[in-house]
Amino acid sequence: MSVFSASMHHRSFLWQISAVCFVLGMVLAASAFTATQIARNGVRSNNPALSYGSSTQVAVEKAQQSEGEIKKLRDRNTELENKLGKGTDAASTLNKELQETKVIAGLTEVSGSGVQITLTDNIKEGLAPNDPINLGNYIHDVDIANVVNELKVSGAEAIAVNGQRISTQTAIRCVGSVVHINFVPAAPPYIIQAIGNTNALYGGMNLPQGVLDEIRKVNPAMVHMDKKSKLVLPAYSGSTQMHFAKPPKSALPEKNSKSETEKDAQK
Amino acid sequence: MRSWLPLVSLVSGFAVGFAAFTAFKWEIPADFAPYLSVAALAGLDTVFGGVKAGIEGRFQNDIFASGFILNTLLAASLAWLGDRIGVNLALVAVIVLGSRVFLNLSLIRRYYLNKRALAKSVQQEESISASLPASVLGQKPEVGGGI
Repeated sequence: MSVFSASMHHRSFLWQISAVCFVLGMVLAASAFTATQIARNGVRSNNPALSYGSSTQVAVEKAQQSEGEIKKLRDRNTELENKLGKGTDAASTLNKELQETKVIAGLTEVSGSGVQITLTDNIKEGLAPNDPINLGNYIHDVDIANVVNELKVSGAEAIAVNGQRISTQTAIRCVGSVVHINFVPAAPPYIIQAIGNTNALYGGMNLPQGVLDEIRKVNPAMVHMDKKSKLVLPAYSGSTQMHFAKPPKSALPEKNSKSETEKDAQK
Repeated sequence: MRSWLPLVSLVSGFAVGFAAFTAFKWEIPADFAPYLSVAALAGLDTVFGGVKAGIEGRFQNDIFASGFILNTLLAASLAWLGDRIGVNLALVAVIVLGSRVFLNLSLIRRYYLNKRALAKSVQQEESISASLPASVLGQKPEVGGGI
């Protein structure tokens, strides 16, 4: 008893220990928080390009801003072309053809009837990313690409995935955990809108052993298809600059090509 | 019960810290996580050492405060140094500090068990003394002498 007897009366040390305990609790919290973060997100490297608020983030935001600008400028271009076309008959015919070509190329907003297909991951099953058995539970880039392909086969005239218009330059590809469409990340649910003959599209997509059928085999809830009387698809907002592909000289009118090159030289 | 105070403040410190980390989205780089763990263990060791010293009546606040800060920093920097020179000194710190925590904890536990045993024997003695005639009370045995 003699060793401990002093403590019974002097308890002021408890306050100091409590104060230090508070600090220790915060240190433990920091440690625990970091540990859970690592468990959830994996070890993140110190590379600033990969972390939040980094140059990548800034670059992506800038790219999105530029896309908006490109869209505005293209609209303005169309407007000017239309004004120019009002002058003469020949010019108006040319402009009409130009506008039609732009619609085909996906450079203008289009509207019309069609179908809307929504693809979602199989949420009910466990979504373990590294489990090869569960890979069927995800919507992959190839699934989207196959659906887009099938829509074209079924007679779709314009297609957009998650607000990204499918154009001649469009690539659909998996990057990490997201799918890039026109180099813009998209996440599930993937909403694929197609303008065309509604019944033809609907029937074509529901063919037995078709693309959607394969996905429905995993879980019918992963696919949802609607007929829409009015869909509005945005214009393609990516780059259309051609550096290598040029039409053969025989296909170009002699004068025009010359004046074009002269203009370029003046610039 | 003031003896619960350290535990209460530890839990509240943990809660406040965790809430702050969640609310303000603070992040500690994953590279520093092991050093932080070792530092926390060193802090834990110091706190248990402080409680033990307090129970023994040898508590000195300057030793305790400086010990907490320096042990924490030393453990973290030792672990860091170990990583730099390719020796797992973090493991060494964990083993040494862990064994010290267990040792201190066993001493603290012993103290509380002794206290309880003492209280019990005092109670027994009182009940015995109430039933015994007054002449026997003269030879009072040493309370808890055998513990």
